[in-house]
Amino acid sequence: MILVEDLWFTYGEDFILKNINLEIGKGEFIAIMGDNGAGKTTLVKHFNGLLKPSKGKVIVDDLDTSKASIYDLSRKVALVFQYPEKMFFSETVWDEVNFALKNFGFDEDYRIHRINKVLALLWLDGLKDRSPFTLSGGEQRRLALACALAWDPDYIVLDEPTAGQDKYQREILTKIIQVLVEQEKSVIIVTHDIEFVAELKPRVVLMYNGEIVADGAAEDILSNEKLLRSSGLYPPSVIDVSRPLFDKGIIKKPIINIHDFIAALEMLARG
Amino acid sequence: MSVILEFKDFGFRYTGNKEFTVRDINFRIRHGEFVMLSGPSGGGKTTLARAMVGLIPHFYMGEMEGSVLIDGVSTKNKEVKEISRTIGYVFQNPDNQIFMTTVIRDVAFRLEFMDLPKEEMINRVRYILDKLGIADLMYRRVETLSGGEKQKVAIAGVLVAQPKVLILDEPTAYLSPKSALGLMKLLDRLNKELGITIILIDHRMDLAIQYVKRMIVLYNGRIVLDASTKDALETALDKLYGINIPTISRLYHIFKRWGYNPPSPIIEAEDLSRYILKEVVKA
Ligand SMILES: Nc1ncnc2c1ncn2[C@@H]1O[C@H](COP(=O)(O)OP(=O)(O)OP(=O)(O)O)[C@@H](O)[C@H]1O
Ligand SMILES: Nc1ncnc2c1ncn2[C@@H]1O[C@H](COP(=O)(O)OP(=O)(O)O)[C@@H](O)[C@H]1O
Ligand SMILES: [Mg+2]
Ligand SMILES: [Mg+2]
Repeated sequence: MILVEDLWFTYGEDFILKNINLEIGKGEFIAIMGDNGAGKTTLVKHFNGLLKPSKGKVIVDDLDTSKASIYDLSRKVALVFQYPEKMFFSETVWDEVNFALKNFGFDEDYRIHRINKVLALLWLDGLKDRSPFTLSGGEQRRLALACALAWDPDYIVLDEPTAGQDKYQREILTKIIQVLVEQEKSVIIVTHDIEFVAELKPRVVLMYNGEIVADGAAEDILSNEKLLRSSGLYPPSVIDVSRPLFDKGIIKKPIINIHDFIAALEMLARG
Repeated sequence: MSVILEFKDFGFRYTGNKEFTVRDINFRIRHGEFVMLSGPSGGGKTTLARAMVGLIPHFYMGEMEGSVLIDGVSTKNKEVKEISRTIGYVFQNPDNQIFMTTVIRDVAFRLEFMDLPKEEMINRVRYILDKLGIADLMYRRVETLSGGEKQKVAIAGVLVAQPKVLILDEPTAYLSPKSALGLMKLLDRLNKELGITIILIDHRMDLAIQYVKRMIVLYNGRIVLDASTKDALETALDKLYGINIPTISRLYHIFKRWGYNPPSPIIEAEDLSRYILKEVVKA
């Protein structure tokens, strides 16, 4: 479990995070959302000890991030950054993943096993001899994710994983997240992608100006237009289409994604 | 309107790759157009952008076929610096673009060879930062910016010089919905009021759909579609490889399959609801 208690954080002047309280269980899938500069990245950097609380604390399982080593924390919590291409430095895709594993001192057999596994999972096996720097943006994204999954951490934090991803890669990502959640991993994504969240329906934590302003089910938060707008977001477009049907009592609750909407219309058509 | 940019039988193979990344590329862009260049990741969008600004063939090593013409002159006969005065290019990754220490220095960088008085320079920088909603970040060090803030600075650094043509490579990837919509409105104004030609590279159509008139789709290095946005969404859905299609247009096609005839794949949500209430669920 990740436990955040009365967390305040400042880089020097203003508080960027204010009184954050949050509990993330094993096997939970959470989306952290909010306008640019709201403090999302700053918050998740506390999960693996990259940043330490100015006040309050962050506990990962039995480790207090203010005291535990980055090494121990990163074994548990993998963080994929917003601009992953910044992290690459190896000559090939294979070496890049291998490096991540060597860091933790795994033996060669295990490394080869894991590398093959994650490269296949992320559809990168065909590119294993390529230089990471020559991959297209989406391919690089997947490589960063492969590196993070390599050593099989329990908590996986993805900072804007769908940014710049095409439809196919969003579908792959959806599958990967589902697999991880089935394996009881906790998956935490930071995202602006409201349609993605509407489809996957994780628990949503909404931030505004350094504070958590809402924390609840995707269906509740994504259908709360006023709340979304005051936090720099807009509802998914299915809400705009389905709202008048809800207002007229034709459907029972606001619908946030296209599949549910179609299913509801089919029911209505059948009577 | 006259042609500003033209690809003629263009192809490019990066040194070290066996295959050509793009091939048989032919299209023209006229002054004042607002075009979207789309297609799946790895399709070759960024490669075409590099060719439009002369980075291909001047900086990237490889084998080039055909030609790219700017105002009728081949990029082979122009320097990248000279091209950059006509065509502003917002890179896919802001980190490849931002290289000064502070926001103001970075954004002012492109104004420096324009010989403007210092005050005018600062005013222009402030104006563009304000338009992007980040005026309060003017004196910040760039490494302290959030992801979206950085992306806005990269955009500001190109917009500030008011180039005649703007190429933006996935500029909304790290923007919040509010910031992204703000950018689209700003681009629309630049296009309509100043006549700036805009080439927007993006995987998602929902944001740009109201503003973009023409879609060019690249798949496996070939152009598979060059059509109006409406035609693309109405009749060529199967060619929109890898593109995130707007929900409204997806619903349009589902209703068609069900035997209904909704007015258009690009209408407002309220109009679609009204149609649904009238035709689909007329209980
Ligand atoms: N090292 C730093 N020094 C000072 N301020 C910083 C520093 N890093 C971040 N900030 C500021 O803290 C605020 C929160 O930043 P953070 O990166 O957490 O935002 P975010 O919610 O992830 O935004 P985005 O969606 O744009 O990525 C921003 O206003 C940012 O400018
Ligand atoms: N500098 C480079 N060297 C070698 N191959 C490259 C380079 N840049 C891009 N590629 C390859 O060219 C293909 C198209 O890439 P790109 O133009 O970036 O596509 P897109 O922008 O549509 O995602 C990809 O397979 C990519 O790996
Ligand atoms: Mg961020
Ligand atoms: Mg690209």
